[in-house]
Amino acid sequence: MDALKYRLLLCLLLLPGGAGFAGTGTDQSVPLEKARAARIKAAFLYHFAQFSTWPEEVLGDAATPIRLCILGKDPFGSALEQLQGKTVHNRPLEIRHLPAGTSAQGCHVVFMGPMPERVLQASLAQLQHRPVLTVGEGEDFLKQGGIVRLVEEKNRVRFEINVMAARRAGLQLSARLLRLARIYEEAG
Amino acid sequence: MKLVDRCSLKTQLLLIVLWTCTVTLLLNGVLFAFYDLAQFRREKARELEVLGRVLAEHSVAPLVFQDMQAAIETLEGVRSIPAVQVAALYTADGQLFAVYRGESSATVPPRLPVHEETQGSFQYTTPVRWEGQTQGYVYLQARLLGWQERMVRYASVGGSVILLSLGVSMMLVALLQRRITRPLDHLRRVARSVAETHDYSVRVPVEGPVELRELAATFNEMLTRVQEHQAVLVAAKEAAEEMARLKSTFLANMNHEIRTPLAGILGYAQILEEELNDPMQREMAQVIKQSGQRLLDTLDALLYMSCLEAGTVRVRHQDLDVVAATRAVVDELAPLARDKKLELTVQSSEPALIACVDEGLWERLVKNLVHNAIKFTEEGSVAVLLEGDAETVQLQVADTGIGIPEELQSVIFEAFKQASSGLSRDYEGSGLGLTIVQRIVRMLNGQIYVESQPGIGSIFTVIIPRCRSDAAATRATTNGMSQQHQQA
Repeated sequence: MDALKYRLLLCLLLLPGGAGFAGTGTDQSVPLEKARAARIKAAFLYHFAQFSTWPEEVLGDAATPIRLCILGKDPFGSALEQLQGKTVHNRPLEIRHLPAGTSAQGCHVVFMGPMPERVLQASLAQLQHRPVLTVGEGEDFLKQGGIVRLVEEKNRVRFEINVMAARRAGLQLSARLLRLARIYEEAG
Repeated sequence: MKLVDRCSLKTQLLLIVLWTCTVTLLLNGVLFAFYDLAQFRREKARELEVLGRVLAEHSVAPLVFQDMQAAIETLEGVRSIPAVQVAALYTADGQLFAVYRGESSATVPPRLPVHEETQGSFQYTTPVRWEGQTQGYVYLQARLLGWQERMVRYASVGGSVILLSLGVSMMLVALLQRRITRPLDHLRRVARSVAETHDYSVRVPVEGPVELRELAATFNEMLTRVQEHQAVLVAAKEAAEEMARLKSTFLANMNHEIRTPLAGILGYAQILEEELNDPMQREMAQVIKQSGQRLLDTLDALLYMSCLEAGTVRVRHQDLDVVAATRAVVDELAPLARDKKLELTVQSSEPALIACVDEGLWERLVKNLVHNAIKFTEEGSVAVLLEGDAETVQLQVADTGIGIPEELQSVIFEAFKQASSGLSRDYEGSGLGLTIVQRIVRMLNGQIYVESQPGIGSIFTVIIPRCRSDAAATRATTNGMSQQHQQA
């Protein structure tokens, strides 16, 4: 019994760290459809919230909702509607749309939609040391200080995480999430 | 007799204990092995459950993010456990999502829940729960590996335990059985010695278990009783022998005491009969003589009978010419027949017949038969016929007397019964004559028959072997020789 447990733990520990990123999808030939991609990404936003832990003080009392803010242009369209009424850590999920450039104060997860590079950098800089999970799609999003970057790869949606940025923000990301993500290593 | 019954008590005790031990231990071993197998199965099932839970825990993220590759890699973590045949992940709606096969031949159910049971393997399904929702299911299928080795180990350990136990119990039995076998052995030895030596003074030591003590005590008591009875019997036998001796002496004395005065009476009656001239007085003297004679005859028969009863008649078989002997007896009786005006004849098939008989017995036989015939015949004749062949001599006495009714022919040889006893008292006699005849015939190993018709007459036939019966056994084989001998 004990031997089995150890064996099991050992083999799970030995699993390659970047396993989530190594694979290739089974049906590569079909390109990812726009609407489906949007739906998957929207779901991922919700799951990122599920796998993250915020410091107690930013969450407030038990009734405080988890706010998911879409900064700038909303690329999801109706895909976000599937998240209506869902809960995260037993708190209601609240979705807000904010115009680009506005402060994302009070948000817990911020998706940075397409916006000018400058505005984006300003927003990121503003949120840098706050416990806000920033998600973006830009090539340099992580380099600029973002935490999670969504990547469309062939027919799948994958994600890349800047662990250092998350730590700076005071966010704790679940090891389960990290195991599936490609870890972004900051230069220097 | 069974083979087991041929063994001694000691061996049987040993066998009983060994059997009991073996059967008990085997039963124990088998039951324990079954129990252990069940335990083993339970353990394996539990391990599979734990494995399933751990896999479920690690499958949350791959299921949530629909990362099949990550899911497969998670499942492949069970590769180091050879018992697991299939590890699979299903989505919340039961669709197969990712699968790991321990064996390429293993079948994976395409949908959950699985209803059919796979023979010889365990299955375990556990939901993958995350944030209060079921994200999917982990399905595990495993074989029961290693139980054969376990059973083999069990068998070897059990075998050695049984052997060891048997050895120990054998030693213990060898030590402890003496408490039972030793008293029994004593008992057996004493019983045998009593049977062989008839010495009832020995006693068995009272020892061992209650039953054997009781047995020994009872046996001792029995010996005591037998001893007492034997003493009583010996005393009784001695007393009886003394009595018989006294009786013989008494009889001999009586014989002498009665015969002597009778001889006097008869002698003087004879003289008187000759001396007296007065016919009246002569007749009276004659009555005295006849009465005395009758008394003498009765006494004679009675004494002879009692001698026969007591077995004190000395018998000496020797070669005897029965024709001559018979003629001598018949001549003696001739006056009686003459008195009754009967024709008395002796005929023989051969001039001389040699038979191996006691002379006294033969004479008594002929005398009784002929005397009887004369006694019961009023007119006509009494004929004695002798015949002989190689084996036997036949004596026939035929008369023309009153005969014997058929219903009485079977009882006439019994002591003190005259055929005519109930009918009349016309005929003198004690009723012992034919009884004595029969005894003599028996002593001569012969046979006697009677043919009779009332009013016409009787024929008594006696057949006796020419040689004694202890020679008869050898006679059959040496038949020719004995004939030669006789001819010679």
